[in-house]
Amino acid sequence: MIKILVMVLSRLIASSLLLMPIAGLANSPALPSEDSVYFELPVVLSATRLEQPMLDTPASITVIDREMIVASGAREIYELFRMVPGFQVGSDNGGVHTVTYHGLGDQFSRRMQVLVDGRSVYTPAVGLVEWSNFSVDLDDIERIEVVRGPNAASYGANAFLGVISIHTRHPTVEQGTQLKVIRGGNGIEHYRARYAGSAGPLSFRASIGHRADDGFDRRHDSKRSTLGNLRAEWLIGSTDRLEFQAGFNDGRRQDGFIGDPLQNPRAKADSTHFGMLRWQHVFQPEHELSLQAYYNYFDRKETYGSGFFIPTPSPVTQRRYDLELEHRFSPHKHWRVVWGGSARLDQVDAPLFLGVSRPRLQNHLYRLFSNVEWHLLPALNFNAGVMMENNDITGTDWSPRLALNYRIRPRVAIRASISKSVRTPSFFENNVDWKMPIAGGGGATALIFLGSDTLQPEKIIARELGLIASTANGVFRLELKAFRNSLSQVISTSGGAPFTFINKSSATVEGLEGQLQWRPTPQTRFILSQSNGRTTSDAANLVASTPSATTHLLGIFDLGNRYDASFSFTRVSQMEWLGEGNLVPSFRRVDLRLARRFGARGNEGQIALIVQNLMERHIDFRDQNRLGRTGFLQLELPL
Amino acid sequence: MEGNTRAKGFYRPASLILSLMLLAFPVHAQDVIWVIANPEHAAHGQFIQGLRDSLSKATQSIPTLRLLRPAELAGISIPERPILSITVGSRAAEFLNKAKLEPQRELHALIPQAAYQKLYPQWKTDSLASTHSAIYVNQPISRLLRLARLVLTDSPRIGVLLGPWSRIHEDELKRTGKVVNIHTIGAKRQLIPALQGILPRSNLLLALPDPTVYNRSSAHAVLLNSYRHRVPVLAFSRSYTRAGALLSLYSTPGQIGRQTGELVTRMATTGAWKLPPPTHPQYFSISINRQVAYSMGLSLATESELSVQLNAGKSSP
Repeated sequence: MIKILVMVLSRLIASSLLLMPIAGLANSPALPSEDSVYFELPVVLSATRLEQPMLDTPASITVIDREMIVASGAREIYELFRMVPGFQVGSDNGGVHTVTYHGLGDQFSRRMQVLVDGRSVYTPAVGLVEWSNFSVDLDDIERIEVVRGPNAASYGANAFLGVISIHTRHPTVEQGTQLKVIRGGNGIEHYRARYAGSAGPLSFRASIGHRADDGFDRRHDSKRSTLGNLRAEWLIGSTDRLEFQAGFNDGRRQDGFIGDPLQNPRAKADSTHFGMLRWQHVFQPEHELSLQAYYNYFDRKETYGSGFFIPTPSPVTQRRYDLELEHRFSPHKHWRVVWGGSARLDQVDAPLFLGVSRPRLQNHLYRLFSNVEWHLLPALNFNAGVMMENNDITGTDWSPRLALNYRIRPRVAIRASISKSVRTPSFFENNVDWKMPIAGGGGATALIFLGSDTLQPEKIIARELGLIASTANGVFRLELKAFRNSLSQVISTSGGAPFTFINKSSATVEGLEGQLQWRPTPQTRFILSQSNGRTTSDAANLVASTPSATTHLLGIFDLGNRYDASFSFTRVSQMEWLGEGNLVPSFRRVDLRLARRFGARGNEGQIALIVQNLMERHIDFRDQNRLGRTGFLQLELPL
Repeated sequence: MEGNTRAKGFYRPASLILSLMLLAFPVHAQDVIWVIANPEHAAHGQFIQGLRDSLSKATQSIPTLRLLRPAELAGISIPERPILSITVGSRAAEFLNKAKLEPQRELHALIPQAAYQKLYPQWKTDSLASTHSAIYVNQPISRLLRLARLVLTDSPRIGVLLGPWSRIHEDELKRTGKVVNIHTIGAKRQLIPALQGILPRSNLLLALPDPTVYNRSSAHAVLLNSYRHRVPVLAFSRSYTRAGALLSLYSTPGQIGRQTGELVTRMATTGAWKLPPPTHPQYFSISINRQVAYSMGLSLATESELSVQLNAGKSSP
């Protein structure tokens, strides 16, 4: 019986084996075919994604990469710019941060273009950057490129003292879910979840978080906010890519001082969001066309005034609509051209500050730009760029730039460049009309600020002579530059009650600065940034605002056994911030980070201890802000 | 797809009948070579063109080529026994392998090494000698590593990501001592952690064809992550170079067709029709992405210079 069963079974198996090829061919996980070699691919590293080698860039650029971001121990984005030669950072309070280059800065980073994935985020009303209102977090950032110097020809309006271009992480750089918790002294709480995944031609990355801290000691400046962002990319065929981004940040920030008639202790309720769509068509790796549109929204509700003035609601709503077209191509192997245009509408509703009679101000801004790169000789690279801008406030302005890079050896180049840029006055500078009702005044008001409506743009002419060098094995990389920036028609406040803004001063900032990177072993990296400079001007406050020397040293160590350590040393010589800022005596700051990674390699979690400002208590931006030591623990868990 | 439909509906019983017919009435058509391919497939078309061009240069008489689609193996009205069957690509090889025809000489061209070894697990033994052979579609590891050495200025720290199919190369890669980071993944979702594991420790990513690792949807992850780590990619197709690999070493279907034609000509000349052992493509091309090289600050010789150097150094280890 069993014998018969075995026979029948073996017959069945044999016949099914005979039939299998056909069934198998249709359904089985196929053998790898020749198509595993000859499949078609879209262009991934197209011209916009490829960076120009440092030896040939027309401007001095400092890159803050992911490793530096992590090693810096920074908890907020603005802190990273300490690492950039010549940059200073400060905090007017725990939620208002400022970043400037060679001084010339007040509580607002007014003279800086800041882009997040090509989206300009400085606010139209004051031209400032709300660093603590970003919808992207430090962990969303892949790298930051900082152009030290004006670069309107490439980056558009407000690229005056410098350009900060933030690139967020592509959805395919990391996958899966990650949770992150930061807890520490000073009420530091930060919770974050991130998910990244892909499905066929669609890849996406979303993160959401909540963050809070208590700001400075003895100041009414704690903040808490909820933020989130989404980045999705859809590949259409082999030539087109559609990218969508959106984000929000909602929170409350305290501000003000007891007894101050304007800066009364108060809470600012901020709400921001944005949406962006970008379409890119790649004809050839070096020939592409992109069209992007975005919308930024910012809304603040707060109530100004106490004591002398009747507390008055001062809502501010700002909107930006922007459409930009860019075309890159290479007409000849020695030539590369980028050109494009954009149209922008900025809208501000701020009745208390800009006058109740004109609750909405608008500015239309149109821009045409082009940059031509010409490799005259293998060792000689010539860049010429120009931007023409027309806006409702100051009319038409031109911003040209010329740069010549010459490779004296294969890895050593010198650069000479000259560029001119303008900064259009903000609505607040040009159109302010701020009256406050006087307490017990029977309806009488006091005029605090009144704009002249006749401001001209600030102008800068920047001259640079640079040296870029590296060793073949990448152990040393050096970038040095001597610079001379001549500013004119600099806008400052004037008079008193009412104050106004005028094109008042001229200034020349000159000096020598650079960055040296040293990788003695693959596990160790040092990055030294040094800047020495001075400002000469008819305005004493501009002279005093520039520190004579700033130093930053970042040390990164892979200690083995999955331990990482890093330190960040900062030294800034005496400087006096403009606006609400004060004299900040020379100070030194040391931050330390020690981390241990765990879990599967490539999808690791980690726990890190970070101590900021280990050495000395010092003034930050204004007298009332005393920065002490802060420590926090950070836990990252991949799920 | 049409072929598949036919295979399901018609081929199954027909192949059995055909097999029986061939057994019953063996017809020796010594002057016919079967070329089993799908001419609509661009790569097959180029292969056939390369084969024909090569055979047209032959001075002696060459058996007639008879072009068959894989599914048509079942529909042959006059059973014949070719002197040689050339399959083009994996699917044709699989059809012929499973068709259970009378034993014949089979040359499997344009087939991944892994596919051939899977179809003929006995490939290493003598049982297949002189009757079964292949001209693989993939490049030999030794040639790839020689090219890596020509491109890298630093001492090589080559990273390789292997998948279920490309892991057949693992031993060979390890033996060279030049590949320091080898990581094997079993599923597509393991790709990014694996990349992040090996890229920080490598100065070149050697991409070997394996649909689990390198496919259309993984190209973004591979190229963006490697560029982010400033690790150039040595890939396996012109398309991969265009997408953003620093360079690729590959053989076009036409080049493999040419090599096949030259082999046929040699066998026809001797009349012995003995197949040599399976081999990698003899002719190859190199394509360089100059934009990527420029951006990474790498100065490379031209494609033709590298080809000459690669051919010149092929005898050295």
